[in-house]
Amino acid sequence: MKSKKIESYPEVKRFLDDICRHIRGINHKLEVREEILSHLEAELEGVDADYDERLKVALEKFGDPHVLGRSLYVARRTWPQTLIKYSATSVLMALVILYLTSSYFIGHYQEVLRKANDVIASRIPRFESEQKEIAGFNLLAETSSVKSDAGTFLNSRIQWSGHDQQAEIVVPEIPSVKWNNEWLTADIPSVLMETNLTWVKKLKTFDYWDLFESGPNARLVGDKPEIVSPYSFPIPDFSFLSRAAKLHLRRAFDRGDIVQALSDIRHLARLVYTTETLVGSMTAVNLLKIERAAYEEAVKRKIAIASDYAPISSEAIAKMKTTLWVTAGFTDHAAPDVIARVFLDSKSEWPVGSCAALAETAQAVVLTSEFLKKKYPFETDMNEQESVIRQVFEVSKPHCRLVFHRQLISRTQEYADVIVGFKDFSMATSWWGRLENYRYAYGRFLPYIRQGLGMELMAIARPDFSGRYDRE
Amino acid sequence: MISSELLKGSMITLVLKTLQRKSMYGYQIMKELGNASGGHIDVKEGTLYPILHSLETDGAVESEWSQDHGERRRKYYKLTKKGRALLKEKSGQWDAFRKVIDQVLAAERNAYEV
Repeated sequence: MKSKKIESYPEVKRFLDDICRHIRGINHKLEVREEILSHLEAELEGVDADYDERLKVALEKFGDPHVLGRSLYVARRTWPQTLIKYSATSVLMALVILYLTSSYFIGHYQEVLRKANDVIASRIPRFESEQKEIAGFNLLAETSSVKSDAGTFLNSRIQWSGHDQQAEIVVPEIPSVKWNNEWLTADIPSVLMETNLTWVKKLKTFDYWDLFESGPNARLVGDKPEIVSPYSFPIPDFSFLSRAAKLHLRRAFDRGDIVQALSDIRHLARLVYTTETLVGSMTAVNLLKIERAAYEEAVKRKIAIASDYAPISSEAIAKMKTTLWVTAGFTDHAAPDVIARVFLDSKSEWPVGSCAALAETAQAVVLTSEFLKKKYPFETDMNEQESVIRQVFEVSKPHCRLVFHRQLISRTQEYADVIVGFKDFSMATSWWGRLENYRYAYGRFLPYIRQGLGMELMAIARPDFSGRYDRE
Repeated sequence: MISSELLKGSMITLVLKTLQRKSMYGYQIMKELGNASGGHIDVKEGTLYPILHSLETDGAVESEWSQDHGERRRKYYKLTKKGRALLKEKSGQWDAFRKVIDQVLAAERNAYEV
């Protein structure tokens, strides 16, 4: 006998629960419950006697509730709708996550860059004043108007890193006198003193030294250049110059023509400076220090110095070293405000050391350009960063050759494709350090996050160069 | 009673045909089918409701909840334009099927008679 509402019967409740376990969505579940309850009520309408028994039979006629539940779920499901619904939701969620993550990355590194930019901008007055001082030295005159390239003589005769070439010009290390001025007085084995240095004199006939017009790097420039990683093209092993300078000066002391030798070394310094590389600039400074040490020794020995020889003071050399190094900090595309102020707005002379600094910057541009180009909706347009450096490369034409590096700037995409694997990007030996390579290599394919990684790459080296002012 | 195996492929047609005349709720459709078939067709609830829900998802039928005073709500199914087209198509298929089966069975009978 019916004594209560049909949904109150435990077997009905259990039956409906078993069906609804397979159905998605609360509305569908409620509809199915209501429909089955109305069916049962219609079936049992007017039944009074044996109500419980009839209810049991009515439930059995529905069959297995689990099978029915699955059938009802499948009946309601349409594949295209489900696919569209879940795909759209997933894509939307992924975009939101990527955008938020990217906003965090970009915001974080933009803040880092902004602070670095402010710090470097605060150093501009000192930079400009030191530039004025150093520009007075003949040594660091502009390089574009000179015609005779020492590279045609040297590039095929010297040792290069990253290039297997039998060097014709070889200068051995002077034993035990590497780090100080002992070389001026130490006993040098006669076999070393007899090293062939005739090429030092020969170099006097050249005005500048280009690393790309001839020799192993010539294949990297021109109409059909070989596209290589800008982080692994061959660089001369400049250290032979310092060793040669010491031997040349020692021989001069012995021969009694030290003034001529001092002039030879000054010219050597000038040539290596004109290679438009930071390592070349630093080698030039080292050669000037060697020259200065020899000059002081000559004074100590009371050797008459001709009046047309102008020595460079140790303080000036130290200042030159700092300035040549920090110039790279003022050419970095990570700080467009600074670079525009120093190169585009400045009324002063072309900054000393800028050619080597711009070469460094061109390499950095290749590294970051792929990350900073706007590719996806909502990404930040970072073209301003590159457009400023392109302008600077334009105005640098009367001052620097930069044949290879101008090529880098104009064909960033091709060079970026070469270093996309970044196999030689991180020198780290730890597994974590090596993992960095993969982070950047594959990071460029991730929308939004890639711009954060680009910012990070810019921020990594940013303050290092101009930071020398603080570390002095 | 007609075997459920035979009915399997025709249930959609029968449900659509039953709804052609008027809107009905599930239990009513079952009763109507039973009456129309002279009691030879006994549709199981576990078969009927998935079919009704599939037809509704496909747009062949549409439903409406209706409630008489004091009674539980009932879900009435109604044939749509698409459902009528589907019924026509299914009916045509059934006619063709029946003819083919009749033809084959008649041929078998003739063979035995010869």
